[in-house]
Amino acid sequence: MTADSAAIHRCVTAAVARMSNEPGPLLEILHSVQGELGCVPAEAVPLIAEALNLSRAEVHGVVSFYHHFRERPAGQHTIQLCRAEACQAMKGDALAEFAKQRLQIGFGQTREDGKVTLEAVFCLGNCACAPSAMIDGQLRGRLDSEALADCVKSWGVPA
Amino acid sequence: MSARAMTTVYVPGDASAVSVGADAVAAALARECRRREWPVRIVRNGSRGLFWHEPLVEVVTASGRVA
Repeated sequence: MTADSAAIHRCVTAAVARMSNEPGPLLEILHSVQGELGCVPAEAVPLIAEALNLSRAEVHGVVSFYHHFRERPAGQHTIQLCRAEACQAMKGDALAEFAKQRLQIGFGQTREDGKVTLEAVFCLGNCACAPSAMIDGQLRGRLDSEALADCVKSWGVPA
Repeated sequence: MSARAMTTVYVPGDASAVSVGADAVAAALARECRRREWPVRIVRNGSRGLFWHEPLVEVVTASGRVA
């Protein structure tokens, strides 16, 4: 789903009105826009910049610095697999390979049927229960390929 | 049936414990205790920090909490 210009305008205006008086409102506004539209569309950047009296480059810099923010909406489901050291030490590499093979996509990609987006993240703070992933916003620990396969299967992703 | 005393059970509710199934454990405990008519009080506390043992359930007994 891609938001149209009117929706982007409405969403940004509402977020700015709610938060522009807070100290350092840019991140809050970006979170709000992504929460509502599923992404921060390129069209929203100049609107936010103007409202906060920042340059487009500054806003774009923040959006592109934080991998959390995306320019296009994710798939119906999102798997954020931790690729940091502790998870690697607990067979995270093999899990990552499995995820790529099973979903037929690489990190940072969305399946063509729009069902799943696979992302690499770096530390979810759950190292003691590694390997970890955030699946549709839910933290999962001691994840193995069986659990991941069950999850993907329940979403109706063809094998 | 003799009346059972209320038992208190601690099931951690922090992110790490939940990431390895603590919510399902708490739900199963509540369901089974209800089915058996065992009075139970389930407290969702923070983890003891023994994350490698999570989900770690503690039961309050006469001699203290037993994991």
